[in-house]
Amino acid sequence: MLKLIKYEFVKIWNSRISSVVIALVLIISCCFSGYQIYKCKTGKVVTSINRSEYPGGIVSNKNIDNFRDELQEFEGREEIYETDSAVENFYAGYVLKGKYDVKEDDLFEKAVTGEITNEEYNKIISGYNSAPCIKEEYLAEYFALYYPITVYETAQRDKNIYFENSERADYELNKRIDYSMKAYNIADNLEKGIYYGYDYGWNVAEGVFDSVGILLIFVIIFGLCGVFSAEYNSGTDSLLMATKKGKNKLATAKILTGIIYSLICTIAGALVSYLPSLIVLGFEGGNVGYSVTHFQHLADKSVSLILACCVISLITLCFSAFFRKVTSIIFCTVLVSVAPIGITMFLTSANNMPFDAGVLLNTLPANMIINSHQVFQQYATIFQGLLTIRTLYISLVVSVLLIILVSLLVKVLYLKHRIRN
Amino acid sequence: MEIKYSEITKKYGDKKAVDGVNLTLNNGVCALLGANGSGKTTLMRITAGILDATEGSVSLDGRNIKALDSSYRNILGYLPQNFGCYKDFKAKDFLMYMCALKGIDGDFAKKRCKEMLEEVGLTEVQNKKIGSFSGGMKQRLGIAQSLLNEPSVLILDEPTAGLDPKERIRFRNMLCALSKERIIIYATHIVSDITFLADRVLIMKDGKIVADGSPEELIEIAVGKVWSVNVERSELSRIQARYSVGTIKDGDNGFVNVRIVSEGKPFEEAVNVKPELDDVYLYFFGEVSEDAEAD
Ligand SMILES: Nc1ncnc2c1ncn2[C@@H]1O[C@H](COP(=O)(O)OP(=O)(O)OP(=O)(O)O)[C@@H](O)[C@H]1O
Ligand SMILES: [Mg+2]
Repeated sequence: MLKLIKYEFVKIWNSRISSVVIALVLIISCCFSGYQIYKCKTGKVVTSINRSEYPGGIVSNKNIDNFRDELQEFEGREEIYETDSAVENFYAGYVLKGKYDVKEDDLFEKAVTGEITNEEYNKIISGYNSAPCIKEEYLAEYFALYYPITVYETAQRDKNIYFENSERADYELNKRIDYSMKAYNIADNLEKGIYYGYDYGWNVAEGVFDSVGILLIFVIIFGLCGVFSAEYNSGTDSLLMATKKGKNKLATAKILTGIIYSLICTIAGALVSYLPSLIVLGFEGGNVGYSVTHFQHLADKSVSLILACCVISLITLCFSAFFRKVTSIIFCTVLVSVAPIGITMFLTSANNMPFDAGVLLNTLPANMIINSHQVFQQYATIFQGLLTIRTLYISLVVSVLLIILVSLLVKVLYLKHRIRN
Repeated sequence: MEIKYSEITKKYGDKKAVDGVNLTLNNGVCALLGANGSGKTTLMRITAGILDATEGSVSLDGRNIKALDSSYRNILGYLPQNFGCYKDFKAKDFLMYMCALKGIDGDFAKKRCKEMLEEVGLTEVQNKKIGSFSGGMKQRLGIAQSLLNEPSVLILDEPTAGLDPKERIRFRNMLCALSKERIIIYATHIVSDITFLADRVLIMKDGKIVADGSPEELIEIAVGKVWSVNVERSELSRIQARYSVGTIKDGDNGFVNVRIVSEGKPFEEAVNVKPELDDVYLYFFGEVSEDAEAD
């Protein structure tokens, strides 16, 4: 069986379209990765912190007051602030070099009190969303206090919004349950403690991975469209079908090849997305993030991607076993795989979602790929609220069922196909 | 061993490609002779189990080949009429792949590949891609492939198509050397190929077996029906329209010698000659238009 799978991979590798598409996707993702990293490196990123030298830690309900007290005390110290001339230098261009990070509130304060002119204020705000005021040598210390508080407060705010939404009478039950699950989740995190810290590498990688995920659909469709049809077209099927293992075993080998191919694609996609940015921007920060840490994101996303890719690859094999023309195979696979995205968009725009259709549609392969963020933080309610489960688990069941069903179909289509040559 | 066909019929739409074939094949070389479209390939595909008959069944030693499934395919060697190859595979890799499909492993697979490459004279090009092969080389690779598993049932659909005379003789000798302890079914329309090889000849016409026997027995059918006559060259076309005409030899003074296959004496001066297998083929397939017959 292993040998048969090996030869299937050789055939895929030999096919021109698949190598072209793989190369294209690789190039696109490298460009994408490179651009994101470049943006980060040059400081042209809209996030609150733009350097790696601040220490990380855990913030929770228990220690948040310590942080607040310490920050207050720290901010009371005169020597940490820049002199006016340094601030002026900053206006002159320090910011663009990413040397300083600042407190926007203070800047605003200064604008209100007339310490700086409105013109200056606007100039800084438009060029950068913060302004200088703390000396460089104190920045690490400052962020060690300032950042956990920001993280905590953001989480707290999200929790409150979710909680309010979960109380809204005009929302449907399942939506409210979804919100309350999220609120509960964050509250739990706040109690147990949230990791914070520098996580640029991971942040950028996640963005890249989300986009590469969509490209994987094409790598799979183009890579696998010839698995059966190429045999039919070249007339090798009459040789294969008359050999001992050329019927059932070969069909199984081809299906397994499809599954392994999806696995390899996902792993390769993850490597291509994560490695460059982690290497350039640093590996630290994998455990950062409230509600979902970066590690968890990677794991969840990989699981949903693998499942979705497996389903799409089997759909491709199915059409490959049925049609001879490559264009028909690609057209039908794209249609079937991408249709759920269209249906979801249509239903959403028509504002006409029957019960949990949106959530459930998101568990279908293509939606799993594009909506992965949503998917694993979303909850679906079934049986009138008796059961609430993470949609990722639904996806899992749906995908496994689809994989089994479609595999059987692929086998039947291959064994029943008519030999022409 | 014995392959038995019972009432095998294959329909494509209304057309019967194979029409109620009842047949028992035993060890030895059995040649299937027939014109284009007579249903040879269809019958072979059914025998190879890659095509389902519309009606009837094929059994090996009393067991349906469909029930035997992979154990039947395990002892089967099949060379399809038009088969595809993996253009990007090297000849050796292709045979190794076929070994994998036939369940031949490890060193034995390597040994068999080497042997077969030698048998068909492709050892020198074993590391070349099949895409660069000529038609005849591909055909030889196909022959090599069919013999990898030392099959007890060997089905060859026009194996010598595209082979040059030297290779055709090599193939003939190779087939002769194969042990007689197997069933070899061999479709062709090249009569000379089978005169030497076949233990039994089946003539197929419009999906039916119209003659069955050893080459000698078949030749027997044509005894007294093959005539030789000298005619004027100008008469040739008229004769060709009216009779099944075999070999035409140039003679002197505008005369030619023609070989005619006909039930009755075509001309007063015609003489009976000893028939050959070619004449038997002509006897069945040398169709003459009805109008010509009438006048
Ligand atoms: N897939 C098919 N669909 C429809 N008709 C078919 C198909 N395959 C074969 N036929 C028809 O069945 C008949 C027998 O074809 P077959 O290929 O068995 O002939 P053959 O004896 O092998 O001819 P040849 O000497 O040209 O190889 C032909 O009339 C052909 O048109
Ligand atoms: Mg044929």
